[in-house]
Amino acid sequence: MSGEEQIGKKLEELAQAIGGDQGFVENVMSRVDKVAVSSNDKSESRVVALARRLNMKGYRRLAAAALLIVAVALMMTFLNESGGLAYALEQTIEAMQNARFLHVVSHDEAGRITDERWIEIGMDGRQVCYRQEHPMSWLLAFQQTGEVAPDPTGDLSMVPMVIEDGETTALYRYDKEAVVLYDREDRQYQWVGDLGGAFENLRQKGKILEENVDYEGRAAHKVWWPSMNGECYIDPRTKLPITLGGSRLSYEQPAPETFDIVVPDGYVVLDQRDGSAAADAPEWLVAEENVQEQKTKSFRRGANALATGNYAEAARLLEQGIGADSWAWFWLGRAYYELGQYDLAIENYNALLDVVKKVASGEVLEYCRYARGLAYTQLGMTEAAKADFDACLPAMMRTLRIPSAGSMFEYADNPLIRYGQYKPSEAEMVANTIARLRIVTGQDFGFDPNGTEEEKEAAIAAWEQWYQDLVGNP
Amino acid sequence: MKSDAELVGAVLGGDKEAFASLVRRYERSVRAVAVQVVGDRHRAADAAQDAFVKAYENLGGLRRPDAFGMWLMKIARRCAFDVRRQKPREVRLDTEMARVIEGPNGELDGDKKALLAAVMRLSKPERQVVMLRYFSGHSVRDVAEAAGRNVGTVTKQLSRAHRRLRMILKEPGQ
Repeated sequence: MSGEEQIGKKLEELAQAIGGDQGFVENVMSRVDKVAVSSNDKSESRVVALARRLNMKGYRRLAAAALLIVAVALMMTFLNESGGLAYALEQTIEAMQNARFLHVVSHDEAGRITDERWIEIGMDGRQVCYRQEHPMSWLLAFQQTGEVAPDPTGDLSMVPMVIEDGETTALYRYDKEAVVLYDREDRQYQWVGDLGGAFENLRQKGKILEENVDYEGRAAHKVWWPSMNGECYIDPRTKLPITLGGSRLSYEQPAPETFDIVVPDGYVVLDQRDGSAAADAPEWLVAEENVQEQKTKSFRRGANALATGNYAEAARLLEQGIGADSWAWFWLGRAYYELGQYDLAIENYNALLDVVKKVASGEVLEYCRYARGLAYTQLGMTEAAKADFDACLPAMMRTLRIPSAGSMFEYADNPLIRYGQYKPSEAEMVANTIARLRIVTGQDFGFDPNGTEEEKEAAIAAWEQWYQDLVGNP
Repeated sequence: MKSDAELVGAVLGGDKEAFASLVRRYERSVRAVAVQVVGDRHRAADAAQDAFVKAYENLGGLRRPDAFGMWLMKIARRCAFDVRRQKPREVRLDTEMARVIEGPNGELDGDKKALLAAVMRLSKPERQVVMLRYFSGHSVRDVAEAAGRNVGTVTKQLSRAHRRLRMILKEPGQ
């Protein structure tokens, strides 16, 4: 039986299992007999009714309730904290498989919330409902003003909110007093994508770095989770991650209306979903989407030009692609670096570091610090270069034993990885990291990627000894 | 066989039997969408009924009658979420006890759940032809007529969907 026939047979079996029943059509039709089919006018009035049902005060109440839930959850964690028996990654996987809700919060350096997300996770481990406040606010501000907003949370006219209720994505445009509705499949702000794959990655490649370490005054296990590209801290009691990168995680069920799409008073609904009865999109929305499409196209072509060594073309295209993706800044910096325009390279690296600092203060972005350090070196700014290189040394050293810890350096170096056209092996990641270490430190401990395992181990051990001496004697 | 658009037009003209035809055409597809959300067949049947009634109530608001199938699936998904919220998993009997009471067909087995989840990840046109072909049991020609596409297009979409389903099922964690 061919693969196609096998799938066909499985689908037929699935249809049988889902089943149907004789009385179904009759039951539906008896209910239909009691209702009237709508007219267009009625449908419009439903939207208006929805708009009037609740107003923005509802959101404020919701935010306050959510904060209270977080506070209570944190207090309970403190009360119940205990080290317990030896920890295994499998316990975290098992705990997360039972999690149905995820609450993600990021803060800036002043402790203000810069980004907050609630996620309902489906039975298949994928995101089904989602709510995010201040999503990519800095990027939207940049698109509109051409400048990075000095305070992404300060100007609400710039800050959109996104809600996905399982079928529809609602983009709240405070600047236009509009709620734009898209089919979820056409516009998705996905945070939880494939938990099954992420669990497998943690099971196979994750590492317990330290157990029962102090994390902000509480005990936690420190774990490296490659597919999340970051360290996370695990609650020893629940075995659930409490931080990931610069974000804090909790798992409480949000208020029931969290994923309801509610239209604030005075706002218009712009329904872009298939089959919707709404009028066509206004000019500003069409224009924005066209501009965004052009930016995305330029970004993709620019990234490809960079990967093929056409740096002048890459710089031209990536300038046009700014606003499509935060990587546009970084790769534009790379293109200028290769063209010998180190000031412009630093300017673009700074743009990326600035916005990340504002929206996720815990993120170090080592690959960007490394690249900026190289540019500073070219300009003879050795102190600034040293500060950048010092910031990325820990990640580089970790890569020697956990190659996936260097994956962002590889991604930054080669945009083809993004488009699935290249995938470095673990051996390549280690060899590339050693090459970077030589540049950053001026040291060389003779690592030969083609050498024997013993020779490579000896070189890595020498690097580690050097680093230990450095950290011990700064 | 009448297309979705023709049947929708007939319903709006007062022909209730045309709506019964749409219910028969999409019954299993709607159940499939609901099962994926709520996890068992019995609650999915409730959600499926709700979905058809809501579709009927709101039919006048459907701008493109030829998009009826996918529009209905979205309504089904929303109804399934409503059903799931009304009866949260936490307050139900534990899974083993529920199986004893509901019978062995209450929940799909792991392979079927994975296949159903994979179907839901197909693109909209591919998902629609897979559902009409397998869940509603129509021939390729009938699928083409219902969806308002030509037979060649439907054949290609089915073939692509088969390939994609195989790929999705091979992904880690599936």
